[in-house]
Amino acid sequence: MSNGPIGTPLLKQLTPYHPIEPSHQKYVSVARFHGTQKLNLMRPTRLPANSRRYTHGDPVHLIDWRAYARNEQLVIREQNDEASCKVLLFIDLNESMDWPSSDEAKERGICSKQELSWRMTLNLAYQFFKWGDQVKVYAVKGGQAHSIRMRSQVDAAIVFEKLQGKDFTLDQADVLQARPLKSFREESGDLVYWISDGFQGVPDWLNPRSLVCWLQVLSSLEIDTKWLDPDSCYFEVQKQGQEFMGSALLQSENLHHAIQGWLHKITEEWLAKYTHHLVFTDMTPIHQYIFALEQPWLRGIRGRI
Amino acid sequence: MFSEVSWTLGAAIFAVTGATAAAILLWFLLRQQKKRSLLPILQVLELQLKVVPKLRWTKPPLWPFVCFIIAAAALTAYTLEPSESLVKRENLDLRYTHVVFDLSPSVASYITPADYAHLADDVLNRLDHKAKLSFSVSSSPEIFAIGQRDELTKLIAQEGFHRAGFKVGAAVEQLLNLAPDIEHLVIVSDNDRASWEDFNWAYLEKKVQVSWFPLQKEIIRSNNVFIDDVKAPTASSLTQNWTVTIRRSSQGEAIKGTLSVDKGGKTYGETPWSFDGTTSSIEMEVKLPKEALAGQTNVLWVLKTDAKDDLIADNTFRAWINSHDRKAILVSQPRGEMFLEDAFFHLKTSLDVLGFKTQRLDKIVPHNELNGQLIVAEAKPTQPRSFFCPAIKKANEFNRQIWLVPSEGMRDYGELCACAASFIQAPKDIEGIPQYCENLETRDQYVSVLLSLGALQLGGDVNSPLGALAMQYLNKSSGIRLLAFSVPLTPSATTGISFGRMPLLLNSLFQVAPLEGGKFNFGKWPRIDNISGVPNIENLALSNVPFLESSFQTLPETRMPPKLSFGEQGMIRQNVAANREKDARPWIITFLWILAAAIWMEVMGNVIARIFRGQKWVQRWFVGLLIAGAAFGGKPAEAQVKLNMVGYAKTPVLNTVRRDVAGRTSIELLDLPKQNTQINADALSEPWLWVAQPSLIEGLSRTDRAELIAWLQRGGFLIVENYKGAGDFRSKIFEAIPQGQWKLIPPDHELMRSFHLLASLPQCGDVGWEGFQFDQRLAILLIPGDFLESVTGQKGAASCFANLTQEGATKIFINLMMVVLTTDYKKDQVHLPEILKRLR
Repeated sequence: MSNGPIGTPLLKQLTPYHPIEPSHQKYVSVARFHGTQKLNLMRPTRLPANSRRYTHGDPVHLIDWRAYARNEQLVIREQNDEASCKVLLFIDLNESMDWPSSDEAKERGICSKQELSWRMTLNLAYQFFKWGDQVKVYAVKGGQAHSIRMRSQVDAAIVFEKLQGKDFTLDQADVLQARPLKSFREESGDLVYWISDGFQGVPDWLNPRSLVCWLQVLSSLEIDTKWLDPDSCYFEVQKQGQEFMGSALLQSENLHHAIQGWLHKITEEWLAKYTHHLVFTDMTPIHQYIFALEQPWLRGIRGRI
Repeated sequence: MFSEVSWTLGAAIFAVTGATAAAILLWFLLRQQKKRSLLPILQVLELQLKVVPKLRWTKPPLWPFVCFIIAAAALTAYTLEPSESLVKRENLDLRYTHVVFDLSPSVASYITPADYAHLADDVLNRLDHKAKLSFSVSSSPEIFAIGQRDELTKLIAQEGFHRAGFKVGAAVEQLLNLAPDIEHLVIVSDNDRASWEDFNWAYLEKKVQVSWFPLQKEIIRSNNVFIDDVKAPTASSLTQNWTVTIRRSSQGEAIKGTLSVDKGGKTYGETPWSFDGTTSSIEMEVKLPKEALAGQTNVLWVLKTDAKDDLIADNTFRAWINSHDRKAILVSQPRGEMFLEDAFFHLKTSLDVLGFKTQRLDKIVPHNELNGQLIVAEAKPTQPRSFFCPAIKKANEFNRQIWLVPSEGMRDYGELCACAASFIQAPKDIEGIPQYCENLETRDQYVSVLLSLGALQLGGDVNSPLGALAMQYLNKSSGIRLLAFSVPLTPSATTGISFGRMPLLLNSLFQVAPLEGGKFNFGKWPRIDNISGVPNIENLALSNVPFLESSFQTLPETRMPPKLSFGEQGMIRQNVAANREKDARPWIITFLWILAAAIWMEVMGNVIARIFRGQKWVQRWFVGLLIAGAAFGGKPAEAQVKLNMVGYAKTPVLNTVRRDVAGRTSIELLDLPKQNTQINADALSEPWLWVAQPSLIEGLSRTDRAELIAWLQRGGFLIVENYKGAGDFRSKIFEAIPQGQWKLIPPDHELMRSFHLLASLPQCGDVGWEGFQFDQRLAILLIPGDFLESVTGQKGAASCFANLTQEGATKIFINLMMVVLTTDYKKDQVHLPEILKRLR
């Protein structure tokens, strides 16, 4: 499998074992290690590591007045703690995800969107298990969400190895039970990840009160349209009778502009309902993915008053 | 003949046109589909682009398309249905129509006489509006006018079918002789082979329109059992058993029956027979009691069966009880040992073919018993009458016909005439040569004398007895029929009798002058194939049914004349075989091949184009490859004129010669000659060869000389210089090519005038220029000196041609070159078209 420029490992090589370390853990030494949920306990502390700027509305008793005396800056020192949180991972397995086909993918040295989604899902599941969170993985197909048996990080590793062996296609034996998607509307979860290409539109069945993050998975062939053959026809199964010549798609970057427009539109739509949105392709470097997911804003500032 | 045939549209042409139109549409539409790829993101995009249609309108490749169009057009044209238009009804009405009713035995299997009479009446009614209408039946040679329609009942319903066969061809010939103004001939018949086989109606259609009114409807003839042959026991047979052959026309089921002899209503010798599933003929031996034969000349065999039998007439079969073979005695002196030169060999063979037992005598010896029914005697020149003339005064039971035949080269017909006279004037004796037979030197005189003796003309034109084949005379008192032939009975150009026509001629002679058996029965009981050929023969009504009529063989409808039927509006003439001479199948097959080739080219072209799709370098490389192939693989054009020399010490300088040749003629002589030290394959690869010394040829090995000879025979031209008249190579050449000839070049030879007019060729001492003339051309030229040196102006001091100037030598050289290149073009006039072109 080829690497990116200057040998950067790419997302198509992602395994569950690539560590995601939330940035705050680097300097917070907490004895307890129970999850990724960061709790602001509203207790004053002396530790400088827990200090932050005063913002309007913070309790006054948390202000470090000595520090204010020294440098006329209002600094709050509050004691933080972490708790295990409930993470829901939804992976979209609709037909459009199974593209490019394995032959074409092999020929071009890339992977299908489905494989990429599984790699990301299992990486997240593994990492969240490692941190001590409760993780539930659902495969969404049609109007149903099929839960995947996964209780620990070992389970996540086993599922990954299994799927890798069979080209990342899910059997009926791998799933536990099916639930209608609508039942998730009231389901509370601290962190919800929706891993999909977005071709089915913005889902309306996710609980918007959770922190919902859409990891949009696209193929590099969809982002970059230079590979199209001008003499071939391109078609889509659902739109019968609509075929476009490669030359027409390439002409004045028609397809490229259309994709950009669609991305823009669907992001707007998503952000109107939910909060976070990230786009990944199989050619995204792994470090970029990790960096994006390590950002504290993704972890949410919930629990804060 | 097909001018009246028009072409109408049928179902086939619609099918072909439809398929062609669909194919053309598909050709334009479906060809060259693009490679299709799945791109799922298109489902969420709103693209304002031109959608690629499923079917693309593509221009097809030219040549396959042209081939397809041609093939389709040909198929369309050939699927037109030939028919004859009914618009010509008026014309049809004005014609003289004659209807022939076939009453042959095979028809009896379809229809009863009463029904037939009814049908015949109906047919005549339908045709009654014609300007002139007549009819005839096969059993009678008479032509009946339409007013005699009442006869139909008698002719058909009462007399019924005849037992003899019917030949339509012969009957129509007779009819047209009687009534040549018949314009439309309707033959009411079935399509059995026996009746129709001899009728080339397509030939007749040029003058008379022939239609066939088929008698059979949907009846399928199943089976016919019949007696095919009966052989009487010979006198020497111990058992005296009769051999009877029973046949049937089909196979399949087992049938059985009995065979017996009927005598005055009584049945004798009843014998059972049976066919199992596969057999189609039985030969059985039957012993007859004496009382069955007593007082009878012939015996009537009757076949009975319980199974279905389509034809009843052939269940009875007559046979002679005591029949004798026909015997012919031929008296002729053989001319030599070669049978082809033997005048009577072919006559004898033909008589054998016709079933005669023949006996050949060289000459008549007194104790010879002339017991044949036919005696053929040939008179040779200078033979006395006693040698050939049979001395028979009265016909006994055997001697009925005497043929007198002159041989070739007769100078004196006296003896022949005397012999003929002795039969004509019998019982009067004739001694010596009568006066009227003296000095008969020509055939015409002989025929005239016979005519004046009362003999009748046989053959030739009416009122022109000199063209007669023979003169015949039936002497009532002696009972001898004499046929005095005026020409030898030998196939030859002078007599006009061919080998094939000989038996036919004899057969027709026997019909004109029949050999009656008298109180003896000759041959077999008549089994008459053609009733119209023998209208008045005895036992005609009792003829056995011919085998072909019984065996129910039919002709395919394509070989039958156009079918006549009566529609509501009038007559319909349906021509199954129209235009069969213009058989379209080879063309269709050719076009199908073209089509297949076009499809193959198309498929291959597409496959190759698909393999190299989008790879533009392929075109460039292909063109490059072609150019490279032409550059490396091609040979330069080989047409050039250059000297081909063997055994010359130095290379001649040809500058001036070349300039002279180019200046005077349109030929470019190459500067560089080809030089070899000895005669080899390279030297013999050129059309001409200059050899420095005759010794070079004399010293050749056997195989090399054979090579040289072969080269000469292929058309090579050899020039040998410095020939001094010695050496044996001239004779060796002559041995190898005996049809050639050595001779000195004469002053009128083409060498002297092929370009320049030369007065003479320079001599070298007393040796002149000599040539070997072979295959109507000059093949070898012997030059007595070193001519080439004179031509190039490098003449040595010791040159033989001391007086020959370079100009003179050049003239001879150019002439020689012309002879080599064109043989004798002035005689051949090969340049005439060019001159005519310039003049125009």
